[in-house]
Amino acid sequence: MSKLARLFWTAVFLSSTLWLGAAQAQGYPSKPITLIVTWPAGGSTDVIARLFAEPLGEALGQPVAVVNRAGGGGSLGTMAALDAPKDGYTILMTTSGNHVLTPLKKDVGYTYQNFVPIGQLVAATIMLAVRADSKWKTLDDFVKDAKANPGKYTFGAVPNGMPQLTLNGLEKAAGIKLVHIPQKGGAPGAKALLAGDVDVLPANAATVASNLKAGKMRALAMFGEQRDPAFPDVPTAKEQGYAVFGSPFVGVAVAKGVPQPVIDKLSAAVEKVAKSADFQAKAEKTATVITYLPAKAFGAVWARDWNTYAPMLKGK
Amino acid sequence: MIDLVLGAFAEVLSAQTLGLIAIGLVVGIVIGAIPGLNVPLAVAIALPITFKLSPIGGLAMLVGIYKGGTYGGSISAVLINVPGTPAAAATALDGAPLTRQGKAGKALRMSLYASIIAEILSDIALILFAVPIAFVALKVGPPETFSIGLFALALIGVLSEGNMLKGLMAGVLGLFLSTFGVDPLTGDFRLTFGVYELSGGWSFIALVIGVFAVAEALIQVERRGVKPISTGKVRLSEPQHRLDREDWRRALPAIARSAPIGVLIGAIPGLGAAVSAYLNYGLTRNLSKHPERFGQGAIEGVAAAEAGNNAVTASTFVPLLTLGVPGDVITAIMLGAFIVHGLVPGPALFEKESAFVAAFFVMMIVTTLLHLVIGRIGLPLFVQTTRVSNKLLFPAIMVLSVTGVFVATNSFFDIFAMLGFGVLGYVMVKSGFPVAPLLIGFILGPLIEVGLRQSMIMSRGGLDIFFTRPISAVFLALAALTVLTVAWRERRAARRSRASDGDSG
Amino acid sequence: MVRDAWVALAVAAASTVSLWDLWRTPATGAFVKTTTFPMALAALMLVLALVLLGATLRDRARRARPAPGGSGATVRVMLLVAFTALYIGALPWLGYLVSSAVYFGAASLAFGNRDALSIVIAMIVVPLALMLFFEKYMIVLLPSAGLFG
Repeated sequence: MSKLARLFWTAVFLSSTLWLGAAQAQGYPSKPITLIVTWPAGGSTDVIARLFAEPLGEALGQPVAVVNRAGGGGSLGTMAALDAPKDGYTILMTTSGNHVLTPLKKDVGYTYQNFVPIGQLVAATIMLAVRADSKWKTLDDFVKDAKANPGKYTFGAVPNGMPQLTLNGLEKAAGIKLVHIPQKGGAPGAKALLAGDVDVLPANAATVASNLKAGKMRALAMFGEQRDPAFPDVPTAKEQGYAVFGSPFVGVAVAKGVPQPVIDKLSAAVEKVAKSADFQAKAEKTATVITYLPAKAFGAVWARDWNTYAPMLKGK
Repeated sequence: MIDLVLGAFAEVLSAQTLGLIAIGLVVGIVIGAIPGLNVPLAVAIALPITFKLSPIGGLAMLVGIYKGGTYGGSISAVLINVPGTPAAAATALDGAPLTRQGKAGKALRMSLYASIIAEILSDIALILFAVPIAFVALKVGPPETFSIGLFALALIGVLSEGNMLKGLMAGVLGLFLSTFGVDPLTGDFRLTFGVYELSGGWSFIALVIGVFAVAEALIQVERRGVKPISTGKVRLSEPQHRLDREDWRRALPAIARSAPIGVLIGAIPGLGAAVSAYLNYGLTRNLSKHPERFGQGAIEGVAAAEAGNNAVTASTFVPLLTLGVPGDVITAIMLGAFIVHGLVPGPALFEKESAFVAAFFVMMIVTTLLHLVIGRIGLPLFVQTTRVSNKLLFPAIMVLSVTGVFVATNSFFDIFAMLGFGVLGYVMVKSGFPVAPLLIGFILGPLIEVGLRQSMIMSRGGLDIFFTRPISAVFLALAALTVLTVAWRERRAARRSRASDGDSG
Repeated sequence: MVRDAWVALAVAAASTVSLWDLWRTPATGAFVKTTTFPMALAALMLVLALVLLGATLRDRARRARPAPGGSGATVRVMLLVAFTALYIGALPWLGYLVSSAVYFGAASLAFGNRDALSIVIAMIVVPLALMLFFEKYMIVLLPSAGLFG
């Protein structure tokens, strides 16, 4: 085969894929879209996804169906998004857990690099909560007490979730030793704290919000750069001398290989919805503050978290 | 206070709210009754619809689906021996024999009335005693969960009497199947055999639909050309379909015992309707003077199971409303419906949103009353199912099963797993293994394991924690007592049968 | 019964394989390890299966019962399982409507239905009703046909 012929066929191939891609994008979306949630129905991610699906469907002109594929630390749903045809009709509501922590801990067949960021919706806050009748009023009280009694106090958290890793960071920074009583979820953890089965609870703000507001729990610290606008009275750990941070994200991603025009269309729709006052107001009612980040910045968050948690989880 | 209650009634008794409750109940009963479609799924799917409704209206619809669905499962359990929900599996044990005896109406009536009585008790308990019940629920920590789990497991022994070895095997298999996938306490993978779909463990929905619906279809296909149970129109007014004084005399004590126990089980996170139904069924059988009636169409068995499973439907809201912690899958999904309207369940709700809480309580009661009305209207329709030929009924059930698992899990692996569990259930029935212990083991497995392991960390490795905490100690003693009585009876029965063997041989 | 012996052997084999797999799984966690609980259960299952096997072999001499018969029945059960497996396998290729309809017809025949009209009507009505209910009313997507694009 001559060089010319090869060039010809390459050109035909390239132009046809471009044409097909463009046609796809032009027609996209021409049928309903599946939004995969990697956690069970009713969880905080699921609620945000269901709130988000409707306006996103309006912005795209096709209904968006939420599908829960929970299990395997979120890896089942993430793999399902990766295995689906790369046409943009399957998008992933991704979280720190399934996107960064699970693949770091175990080879589950993907890493964050198999995905293209579309946009971040939420950057949650992790709080350190105690019962209202606890003797500890500040983070310092607790750290001093824990230092004097290594291995005495217990905390509840889902194994290798962001709250546990954040508390591990605090243990290291403050030089204390706590006993981890693993929990099956955020809600069982909150119950364990209220019942006195654990002494402290690192948890997503949304999980403990109602008990904090009702005065049944007290937050010793929050692990963010700045205070959470929803809880202006809770000081950051950094203010109290411990530079420990933990901020789980929720955002939208698609598998690598989805045509660029489709990605552009999706990104624009996600941005439009995330910035709409209506959606933000609805999300706020669920004790979630929308922290939108565009695709590029969201991708940077992935890399940042991957590098932060790799030393803590790899080969564990 | 009076204003609050009057306002609540005005809100709930509006045409819109009543309509939403009715829609929820009808959808719930139908979805509950259809094998393959399940209630948590229906609630999850209906959730976004409620975002657009008023808070009470939306929740009314979801509560309607929940209550209707929990009851609806018993309809197919009674009529075609395929429980529509896992919680109705205990109802099938005595409901289906009644149908085969031509007394379907009796079983259906009893499951409706037992459900309603238990629901009303549960509603009242939620309204009057939410806070003290929550206090008890908080006392149930990991060691108590472990002990209660063991006690419930011991009651499996009661369900397998006369067939102890096979019952035990089925129970252990259920426990074992529940340990596949990610270990909830370390996040490590176990028993996945390199299959990534197994990292989530076996799907509960696939298991339930497999061992009940698919297995029943496989059993029925053996007997080709079986005539439907009824040929003409079924009239509920005929005496064999009515409940007589004798039936009520047997059933009322069972209901009176099952309903309060069910209310408490509902309030404890993690147990739920299926455990309540089986536990109460086993208990009623164990306490009965005629345990041999059970499994042959004992009306009190239907009553205990149905009162047991519907008694949880209001008390599951206790942990959600008082502690802000959902106790099961369905209330976890409903949590979404609360917070989308800015109502964050928890202790603060009672103070800040007392009007809403009052309306919610009134709505629970109204839903139960409407449930009675709609359920009663539906009875003459449901019972006609016995006229449908198996040739059309079971192919439809198979299509529904595949569809239901797909819709719930979106995973073809889980659908194949359902088929595998169907074959398993078929082989079990054919070789005389009871299926109920398998299901109970599967539900109790995580409770027992997680309870045990969390307790051991709490006590830093000491076993004394199970005996020094009073609630845990009581349930351990009850478990031991159950095992002993069952073993004693089994021994006596074995001796008797050996004696009669000796006579004849 | 002979069937019991086979069941017992199958359970024993499955428990042994699981025990072997768990043996090689790293035991992590504090006090009670990841593998403790499942291993205890697998071992218990193995013991129970062996007891059942023993009891069956001992009993066989005493009361040998003929297996309840009818080979046509077993064939129909296997046929229905095979149909269902094919149906599940075909779903992503043929789409929900076509495969459900074909399966319904085949299954109805296996159940002994020889009334062509009722099969055809149900073949169309059942899948269509489910499809409309889920896709249009509930916005839950069912498998679409990969083969026809």
